[in-house]
Amino acid sequence: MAEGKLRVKLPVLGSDGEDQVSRRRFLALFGASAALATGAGCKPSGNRAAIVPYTKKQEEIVPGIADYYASTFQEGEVAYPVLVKAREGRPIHVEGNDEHPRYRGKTSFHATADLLGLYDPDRLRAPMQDGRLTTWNVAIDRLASSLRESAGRSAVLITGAVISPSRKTLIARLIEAVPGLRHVEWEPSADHAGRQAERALYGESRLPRHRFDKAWVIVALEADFLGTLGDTVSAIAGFASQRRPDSFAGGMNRLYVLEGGMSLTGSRADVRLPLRPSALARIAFGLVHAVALRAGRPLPEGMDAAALDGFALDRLPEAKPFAAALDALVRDLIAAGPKSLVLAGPAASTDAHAACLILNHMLGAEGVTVASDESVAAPVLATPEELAKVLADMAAGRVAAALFWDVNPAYDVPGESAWQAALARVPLRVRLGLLPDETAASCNLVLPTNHWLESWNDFETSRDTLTLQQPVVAPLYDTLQGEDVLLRCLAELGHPAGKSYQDFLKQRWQEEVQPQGSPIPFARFWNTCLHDGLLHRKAEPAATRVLDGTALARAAAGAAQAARPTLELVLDLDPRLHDGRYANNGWLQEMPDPIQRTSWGNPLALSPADADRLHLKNGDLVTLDRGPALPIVRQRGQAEGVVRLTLGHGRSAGSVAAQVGTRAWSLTTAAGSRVVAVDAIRPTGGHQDLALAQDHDTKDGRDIARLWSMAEFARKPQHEREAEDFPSLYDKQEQKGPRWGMASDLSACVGCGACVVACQSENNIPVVGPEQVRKGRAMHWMRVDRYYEGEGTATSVVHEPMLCQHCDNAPCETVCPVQATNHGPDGINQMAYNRCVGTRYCANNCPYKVRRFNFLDFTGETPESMQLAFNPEVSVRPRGVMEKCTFCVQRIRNAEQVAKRDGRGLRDSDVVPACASACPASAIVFGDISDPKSEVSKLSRSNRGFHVLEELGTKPAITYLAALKNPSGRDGGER
Amino acid sequence: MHPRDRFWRVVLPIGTLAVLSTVLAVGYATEPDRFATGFAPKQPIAFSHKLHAGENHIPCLYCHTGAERSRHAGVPAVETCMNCHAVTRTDKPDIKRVTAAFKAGQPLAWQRVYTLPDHVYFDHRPHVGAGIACQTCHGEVQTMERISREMLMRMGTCLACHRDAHAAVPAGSKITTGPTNCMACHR
Repeated sequence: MAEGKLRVKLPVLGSDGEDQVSRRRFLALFGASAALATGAGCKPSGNRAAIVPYTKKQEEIVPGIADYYASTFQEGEVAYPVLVKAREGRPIHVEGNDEHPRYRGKTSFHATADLLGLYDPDRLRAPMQDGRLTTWNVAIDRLASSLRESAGRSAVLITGAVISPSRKTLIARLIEAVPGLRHVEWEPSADHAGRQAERALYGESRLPRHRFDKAWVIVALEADFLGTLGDTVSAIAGFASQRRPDSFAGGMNRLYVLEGGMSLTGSRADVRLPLRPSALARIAFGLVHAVALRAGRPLPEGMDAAALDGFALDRLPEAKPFAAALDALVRDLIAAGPKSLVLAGPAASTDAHAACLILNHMLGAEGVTVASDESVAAPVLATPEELAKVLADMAAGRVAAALFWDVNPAYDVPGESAWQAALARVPLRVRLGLLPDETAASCNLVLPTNHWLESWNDFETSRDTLTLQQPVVAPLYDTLQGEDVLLRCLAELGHPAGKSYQDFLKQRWQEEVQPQGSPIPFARFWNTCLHDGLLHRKAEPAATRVLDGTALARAAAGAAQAARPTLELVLDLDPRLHDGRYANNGWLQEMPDPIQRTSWGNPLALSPADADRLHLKNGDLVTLDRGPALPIVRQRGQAEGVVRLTLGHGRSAGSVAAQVGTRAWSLTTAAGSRVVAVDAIRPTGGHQDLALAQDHDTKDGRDIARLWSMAEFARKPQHEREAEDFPSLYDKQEQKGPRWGMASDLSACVGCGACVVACQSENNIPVVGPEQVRKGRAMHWMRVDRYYEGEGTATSVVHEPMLCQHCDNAPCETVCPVQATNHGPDGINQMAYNRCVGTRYCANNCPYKVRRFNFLDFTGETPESMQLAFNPEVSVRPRGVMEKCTFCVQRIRNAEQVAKRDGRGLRDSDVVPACASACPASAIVFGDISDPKSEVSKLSRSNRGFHVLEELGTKPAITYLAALKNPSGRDGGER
Repeated sequence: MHPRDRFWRVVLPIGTLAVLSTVLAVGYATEPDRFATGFAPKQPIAFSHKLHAGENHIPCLYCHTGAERSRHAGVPAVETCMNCHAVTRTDKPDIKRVTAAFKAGQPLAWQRVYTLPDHVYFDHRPHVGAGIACQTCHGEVQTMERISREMLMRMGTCLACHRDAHAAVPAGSKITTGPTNCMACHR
């Protein structure tokens, strides 16, 4: 086959030739597509492809019409219901499932981005034994016989968190069949400290269910609930729902964030206290002390008031600089009572978590904002110490077989030597997974599994809903679902449990899920559930829990003794790559960090004061006590003495992931603590340019991203825009039909970047690699700008989604020499790629800098498997062509045709562009701004509304609504 | 001869001719097929539209089912042929091949007659919805033994009709023009 030859580098049109294996070409080294395209594309037209219809008519598929399937995307202990858009049988886009009452059509952008995981050219394509291809029969045989003979020694099955009741049942069956089998659930990113505190206080732990939509005062201690902590989607939706008042009287919630680094949650804080993580536990107990004392709330049984004696806020040295703010915090908490929510994240200690639990308890928030009665028991996850014990058992030769199913301990367990030693003594090491990752490299039986878009499953994360996962596409390669491997093993071991996991799942649902005595036939019940992707059921609330006061007293004692290291390194999850599982995803690697605005890598964040002391600027290399040299980024608002690094980077396997950033997992302690004491930071004198998506951090006094305090908002006259009608030399645009426009509420926007990923998936936007990003050639049509106001502890942040403004007087249109960009009758600033000759005058003249130029052939080398992810309704742009946001014109055109077919006009909700559909905060609203009744024109008339750079007279179609900040005290006004 | 005379009398005319003929030859050789009418490739099955659509009066939409609801009119699945040919004319060699393909699950690779570049997003729906007869663009298909291209696949042809649609739409239709902005078709 020609494929072998094609792996040799092809000369790339317009290649810069600057680096040996240029990052830009990382995708190109795989697959045959490039040359197939060049070979076939010699003649510009003709019969490039024959029309090959189906042999048998496919009921569901009409070529050209998209089908939608409900499924579920699992990430750790969270299951997001999704709708998968498929064209001609292949998934091309993932959005939220609007049937689910809690998510209402929103989903994590990880689900949207993980579409690339399905088409990843790195994927394992067939089972491998000892580095050679083998068949499934041989592989299953070897696995089963080794499990059968493991008698005397044990076998270990390491999986991620099991939140699927059916998978759980299946694993239980396997344990019955193989008595020596131990099942370990390993989620490196789980909040182990929080879990431990909950178990100490309540004797059990449940999956967290926080109702941010009901909370008026939120206190977050190193808890990045908007960015990385658990179920971010319903957190963002709930939080944002309380931050879009029509008027000052409406009021809004208030968020206090106590953290060392600057997280996404911190960037949206009304009051942000930069504190070292080591101080959090004491301050948290200080809050307990103050609430108990001032509000007279009783302490639980077993806890003496004396235990809190040392924690008076006015006597804690850490609390001194923030005395006024903490005082206001306590007052707010007491006033809000049950409508308050206090939470801590994985970087907070167990003691700090305990203090948060008791605060919620004393304030009466349990059952209101902390809905633990709706939640199910959390899976019993192994702590890093427990996993270390398992590895020690392996190293001692007590384990005959080890199965690693969708976990990558070789990458995320601290200390490589322990891993090597452990694996060396295990005769059979089995990897069940998608990619040839670090763990697969040390396994002798590598079994490729299905992607979630090729799999069956069910998930239970709350008592009232079960969600289903169904395959949208048949397995692309010779892979099996992990559960099917177990089933075949069980059959081999003489304990058959079902022909396939699909049957197993259906049977379990028939026997256990369908209500007893239901008159509905099971087939109909099942099909309805599959169609909806979920099943609502009435469930008894979980039993109320009793808080153990003695454990709390112990926590208080622990907090009092917490060490105060000179320098603290905070290791946080990366909002894009999570624990590293998405590191091979080009979309997520290239997506800029919402705060640092860096892509491709994880620089070490230093506070400006610390950086100044060491004379460091962005990109200068430093070393910590151990580990490699890494570049720094100066982070405003970060506490002095705190350095922050994100986990999930520095993979050693994967054509996209390898060698990008630093592997921070190696810096965690053996106990898995996310805060590590560091002795010193040593500059190496080296420098490495960061791949920054935004190189200017402030607004320089220009009113381009409005941030108002509530007091300022109160002073603004109602329903009166500040905007003047600027004079214009141009005629008014002629308009026919609707005038498409957008409203973007900066107060609701949390800056997560879900819109960026959705846009990239919908509009075939290429990934360009770090070298090109450094040159400012990233191709994102939608970006989320981040601006700082103020310095030090007074730093505030505003996020602003920036995309083509579809100006009525568009500066780009007047300078195009070939009329490639011009104005459509529906107000869309059109871009005709086939007409563009690449002068770039338009980009030069665009004041919003939203036009993107294909400097190189970014799409021509897309591997064949990844071409399947392309949206067939959007042109794939070649080199030398300008491009930009089209308002998802393909969706508009389709909606017009559907409306026409139904013999009606367009309705307000007919057209939803990818960004608006993805936004978990519902901050983006799209529609016809010429229709005064449409949602978007109502928002455009808001008294918070403004246009960016409207003094230029561009007359943008996008109205932004000022971000609001609700600080306590004089500026915020009391509620 | 004065050297300047030679330039005017010999070099310039021959040079001009050479340049012109090169341009024309290259232009002719590289001209996209879609800029020509009468293109009638051989199809895997000698399917006769004259027989099916003309003599037997099978409606276009019986086979090209997508035209009303999708951008693509589509080519029917082999199964659609078998709706009749499971029992009719089963002895003909081409029908035997169709039957064999159907039984073996082998698709038929029909040669594309109407080709558009990738950046053109033609949509059948509004055209069929406006009552425009298929023959307006595709020619008198019901008289064709082998299908041949009757429309010049250039943007000018599209625009001519979009600027003045009266010849294409049925008499009395309210539609007089089609959209002529770029993003009506390009995106």
